[in-house]
Amino acid sequence: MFRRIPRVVRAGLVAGIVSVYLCLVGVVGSLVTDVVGRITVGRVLLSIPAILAGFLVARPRVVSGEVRRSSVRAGVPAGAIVGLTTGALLAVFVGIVNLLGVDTVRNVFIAVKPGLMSLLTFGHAGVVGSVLRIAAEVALGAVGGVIGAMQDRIRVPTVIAATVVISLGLLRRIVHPALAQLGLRDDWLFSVVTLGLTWFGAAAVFVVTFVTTFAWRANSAAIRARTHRTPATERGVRVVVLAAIGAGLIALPFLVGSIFSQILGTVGIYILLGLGLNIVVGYAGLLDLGYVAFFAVGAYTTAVLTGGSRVTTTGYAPPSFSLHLSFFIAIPIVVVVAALVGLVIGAPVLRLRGDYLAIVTLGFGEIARVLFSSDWLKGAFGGTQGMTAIPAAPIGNLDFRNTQHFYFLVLAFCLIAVYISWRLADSRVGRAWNAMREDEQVAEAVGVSTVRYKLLAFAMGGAIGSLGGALFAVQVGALNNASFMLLVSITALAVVILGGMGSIPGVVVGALVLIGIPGVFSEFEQYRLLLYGAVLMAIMILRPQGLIPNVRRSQELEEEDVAQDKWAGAVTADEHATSPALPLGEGTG
Amino acid sequence: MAEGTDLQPAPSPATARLGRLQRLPLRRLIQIVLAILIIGFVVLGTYKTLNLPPDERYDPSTWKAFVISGVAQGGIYALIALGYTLVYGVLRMINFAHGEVFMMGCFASFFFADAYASSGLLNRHPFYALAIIFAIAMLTSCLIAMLLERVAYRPLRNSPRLVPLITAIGASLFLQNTAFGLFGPQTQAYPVPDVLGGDRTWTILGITMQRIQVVVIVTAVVAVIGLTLFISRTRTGRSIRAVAEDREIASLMGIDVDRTIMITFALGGLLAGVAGVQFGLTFGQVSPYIGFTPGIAAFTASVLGGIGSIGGAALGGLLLGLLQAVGPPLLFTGFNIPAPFQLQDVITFSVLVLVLIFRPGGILGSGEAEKV
Amino acid sequence: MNLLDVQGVSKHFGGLYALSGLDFAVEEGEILSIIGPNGAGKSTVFNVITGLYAPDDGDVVFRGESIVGLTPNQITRLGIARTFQTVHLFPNMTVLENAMVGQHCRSRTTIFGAVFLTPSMRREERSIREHAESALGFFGQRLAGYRQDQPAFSLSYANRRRLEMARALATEPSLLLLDEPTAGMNPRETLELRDHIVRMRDDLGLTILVIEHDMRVVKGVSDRVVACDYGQKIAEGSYEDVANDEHVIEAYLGTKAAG
Repeated sequence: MFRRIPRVVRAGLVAGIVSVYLCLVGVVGSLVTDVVGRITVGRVLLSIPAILAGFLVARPRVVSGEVRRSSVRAGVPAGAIVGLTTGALLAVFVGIVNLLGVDTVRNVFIAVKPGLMSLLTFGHAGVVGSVLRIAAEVALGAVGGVIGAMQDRIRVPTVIAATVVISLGLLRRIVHPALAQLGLRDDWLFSVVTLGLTWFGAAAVFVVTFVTTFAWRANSAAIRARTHRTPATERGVRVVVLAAIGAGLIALPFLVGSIFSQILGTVGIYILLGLGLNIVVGYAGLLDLGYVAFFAVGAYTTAVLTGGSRVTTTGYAPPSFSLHLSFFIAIPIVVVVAALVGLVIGAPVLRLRGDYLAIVTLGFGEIARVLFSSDWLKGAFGGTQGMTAIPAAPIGNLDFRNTQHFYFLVLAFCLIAVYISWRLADSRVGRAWNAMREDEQVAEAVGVSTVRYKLLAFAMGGAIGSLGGALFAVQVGALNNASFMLLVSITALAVVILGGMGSIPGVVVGALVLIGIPGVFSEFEQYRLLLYGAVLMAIMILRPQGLIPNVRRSQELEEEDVAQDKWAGAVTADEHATSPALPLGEGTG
Repeated sequence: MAEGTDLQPAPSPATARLGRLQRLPLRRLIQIVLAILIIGFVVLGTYKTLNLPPDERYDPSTWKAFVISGVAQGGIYALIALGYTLVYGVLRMINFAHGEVFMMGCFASFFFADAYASSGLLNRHPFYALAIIFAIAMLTSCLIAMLLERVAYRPLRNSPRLVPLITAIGASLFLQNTAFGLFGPQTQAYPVPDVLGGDRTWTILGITMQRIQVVVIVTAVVAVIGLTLFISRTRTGRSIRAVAEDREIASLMGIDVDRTIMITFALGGLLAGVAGVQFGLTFGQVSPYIGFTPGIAAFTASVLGGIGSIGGAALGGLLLGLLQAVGPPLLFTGFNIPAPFQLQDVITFSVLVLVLIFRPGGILGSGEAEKV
Repeated sequence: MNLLDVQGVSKHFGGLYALSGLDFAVEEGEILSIIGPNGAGKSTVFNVITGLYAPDDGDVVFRGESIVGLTPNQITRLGIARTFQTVHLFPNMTVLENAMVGQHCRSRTTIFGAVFLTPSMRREERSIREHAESALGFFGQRLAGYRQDQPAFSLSYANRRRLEMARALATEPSLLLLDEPTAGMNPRETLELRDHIVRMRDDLGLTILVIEHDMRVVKGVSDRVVACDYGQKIAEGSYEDVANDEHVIEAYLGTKAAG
C-alpha cells in the first residue's frame, strides 16, 4: 500500500513523521540555545527532516545501472512537494493538539507545551500559523532539493560549510573563551545578546569555509603532488603536521579553560575505554557488552590501593583491605588485576560466539556492578554508598585534581594506549586476532590457538579499560554504583562503532563526538542516550565500517555483501553461535 | 636465504613435540572446575540455610509465598520469552529491544488505565476496562515491534550476525529514551482495579494466591497454548516454521518471507503487550526503565528452556521465575549474606552463563539451539 | 616408519556412521590419494586427523605419537597442514597477511615483543614475511606482486584455492592434507595444479594426503591410492590396482561388477 504512493510524497511523509517525533520527544522545544541569530538548536533540528528528504529525492540516483541526475529546476519542485507533505503532517499534528487542548495532550506527552506550539506556528494561532508552517516546510524541502540537484563540486563544500556554521554556533561556549585567551575579538562572530552566531558571522564563516573547501577539492591533487614530491618533503610535511597536533594537544586545556578541560578528561577516559574495547571487538571480533566490569575493577582497585574511604552512615571508614600507595605505583597492580579479571571472564565463555557472547558478557558486567555495590561486599567497597576521598597523587607541581593538570595525565595514558593498539594491530598478535575474527575455526586449523588469543584479547582489552577506570577514580575522587551502569559499556561500544571497528583514529573521533559534544552542549545531556541509540542504529544500517574506517577494511565492508554471498556457503552454517564443532566441508565427507 | 628452500619442515621433532601439560584440554578443565564450584556453593548454601537456628529460619508459609510469586513472575517472563524465541527461531537474532517493546505496551496501556481509574470505570466495570487496556497494550507493542523490524532489522537481513545485534542494542537504548522523552522520567503508579487488589485472594486447590497472580498465570498458560496452536495449525504458522527452517527455500516455495517475518515480530509484540499489562498490575508501577531487567530475564528464560522452542520459553520462564524467587533466600541466607534479593540479577545471569556453557541448547533443546 | 597411521578410526553423527574402523598409513615422502563416492567419509577423516572431530574409536598416530585429543592448532604446530573442501580464507585480510598467519605457529612474538619493538621481534617479523612471500612464490607470479596487498576476497576462485594452499605451506608442514584441491577449477588450472602437487613433494619434500575426485589428477600424482566407501577402506594399492578393483567399481557404479 505504502509503495503505491509516489516516492516524493513518501519521503515527505517519513520526514513529517520524524518531525512530529522530534517535537513529541522534546528536542525541538527544549533545546533553546541559539545557533544563528534567533534560530535555536531545536528549530535547526526540526528543519533537518524536510531538508534531508528534499535532498534525498533530488540527488542523483542510479536507475538500472545508469546515473540519473535531476536538474536544479526539477529538484526544486520535487523538494517543495516533499516539504508540502511534511508541512501538512505537522499542520495536522498542530490541529490535533489544538483540538484536544495542549494541557490534555501534555498529560501524556510531556514535551507538548505552549512554547512548542508557538514555535511550530511562528506564534500565530489558527489557520495562519499552520499555513506559515507549511510554507516554511515547503521552503526547506526546496532548499534540500536544490542541494541535492547541485553538482558535487558545489554540493560538498556547501554541506561542509553549513555543518561548520552550525557546529560553531553550538560550540560557542568553548570557542569564545579560547578566542579570548588568544586575545582575539569575536563580537563580530558571536552575538552578545543571543550567545549564538551573528548573521554576519555565520555568513562570513560560511563563505570562508565554502571557498576553502572548494579550492582544496579543486587543487588537492596538485598540492599533494608538491608536498609528496620526495621522501624528504613528505617526511617534512609529516613532522610539521605532528608538531602542530602536539602543540595543539598541549595548548588545548589552557585555551578552553578548566571547565571544558574536565570534559576533555572524560573524553580521554572514554578514548581509553574505546581503545580497550576496540581490541576486543575490533581486532578479535568478540562483542563484549560487559566492558564496564573492567572500568569498575580499575576504579575500585585504584580506590582501595591508594587509600580511599568507604562511605558509611556515620561518616567515613577505611575499607577492610586498604593500602596507601601512590597512584603511579598502584597503576601496574590495577592493570594486572584487570587482566586477571579479563581471564576469569574470558575463560568460561570460550565456547560462545557472536551474540551469545555479547549477552553473557553483559551479564558479567551487571554482576560486577551488583557485587561492587552489594551489602555483602560493603566492607570492601562501601556498598551502594560507595567510596570517597580517593587521593590523586600529584607529581611535582601537577595536581591531578586540577582539571587542566588531569588532562595531561589522561593525555599521557591515551598516548600510551594508542601506541600499544597501533603496535599490536600490525603484529603477529594482531594478525592472529584478525584471523580469529574472520573465521575462528579456520584460524585454529591454521595454527592459531583460539583459546589463548581469546583470553589474551579479554586480558589486554581489560587492562587498557581499567586505566580508564583508574583515571575516573582520580578524576571524581568518589565512586558509587551509579557510575558503573550498563550504559558505560554501551557508550564505549558506540564510541568504537561510530569511528569504525578496528580504527584507532575512529575511537578518538567517536569519543570526541559522543562524549565531547554532549559535554560542551550541556542542554543536550538529557538526550545523550537517545543520540547513542540512534547512532548505533544509523551507523550499522547506513555505514557499518564507521566514519573513519580502518584503512585496510575501508573498501572491504562496502563489498561485504558480495563477499558474504560469494564466500562459501559453509560459513553461514558456521556462524550458529553454540553449535559444537561444526563440519567444515560436509559432515560425512 | 634462498627462496623456496626455507619451506623445508623446519622444526626439529623435539621442539615440535608437545609437553604433557599442553595436552590438557583447557576448556573441559574450566568447565569441570566451574561445575564443582557451583554445585558446592549451591549445596552448601542450601544446607546452611535450612539448618539455620529456628528464629532466623524462614517458615514454610514464607517459602510457599516465594514459590507462588516465583510462578507468577515466571508467567510474565514466559510471555516475553516467547517473543525472543519466535524471533530467534526465524532470524537467528537476539532482538535485544524486545524488553523495550514490552515497556512501551505497558506505558501505552497505563494512560488508559489511569484515565479509567480517575473516571471510576476501572472499578465499576473492571472486566471491560481491563479488556480495553490489554487491547491497547497489545496493539502498541505489536506496532512497535513491526516498526522495529521494518526500520531497523530488515535492511540488515544479510549482514554479519553482530551487525543486527548492535542495531538491536541501539534500538533498545533509542526506545527507552524515546519513552523518557515522550512520557517523562518519573515512575508512575499503575492503577489496579480493586477486584485484583493486593490483598484480595482466591484459593485454588487449597493454595491461596493473590488474584493478580492467578490472572497472570492463567493468561500465560492461555497464551502459550494459543501460540502453539497457531504455529502448528494455521497456514501462517506453517509459513513461520518454513521460514525458520530455511528462508531461501521457503521463498522459493512461494512464501512471502518479509511478510512472515513481520508477522513473527507482530506475534512477539502482542504477547509482550499482554506481559506489559500484567507487569503493571503486579508491580503497580511503570517507568521508561522497566523494560531492561525483565527483558534480560526473559531472554535468559528462553535460553534456559531452549531458544527457538515455544514450550521451552514457557518452561524456562517458569523455572527462572522460581529460581529468582527462591534462589536468593535459599542460597545466600545461609552464608549470612545481607539483603539476598539484591543478588537476584546475579542469579539470572549466572543461570544464563551456566546454561550456555553446559547445555547451550537449553532444557528442551537438542544440544544445538536451532529449531523452532 | 610411517609418517601417519590411521588406526581403526570410527566416527558417527547420530545414527550415521561416517567412519567405521578406517585403517591406512601414509609413508614419509609419498603422495597418497583417497578416493571414494560422495558420503564415503573422506572429509571426515581429514577433520579427525586435524583435530576438528574427536574420533569415537581408534587412534591417529603421527611420527609415532598419538595426536588424538590435541587441539587443531597443536596438530598444525606438529606439522600437519590442510586445505578445505570449500575454500576458507580470511577474506578481509590481504593475501600476504593470510600467508603470514600461516607462519603463526612457527613464531613466538608476544604482546610485549610487539609493543616494545624488540630486535628479536623485528627479526622474527622479517622472517615471517620472507617465509610467507616464499610460500606465495611457490605459485609463481599468481600470488605475487601487487596481489599480495589486496584483500583475499578480491581474488579469483582459482587463486583463492592457491592462496589456501600457500597458507598451508606457510605453516611449514611435513604432512599436507588437500581436500579436493581441483574442485571447481577448469582443465588448464587443474593441470597446473597437478604439477604443483607433485612439486610440493619433489621440491619441498612434503608428504601429501589428497582427497580427489578427478581421476586424471589421481592418476597423475598418486604414489598410492586408498579407496573408501561407507567409512571403510575397500581397496589400497597403485592407481591401476585400485582402479581395476571390483569393490571400487561396485562402489562407484552401484552394481555388482561382472565376475
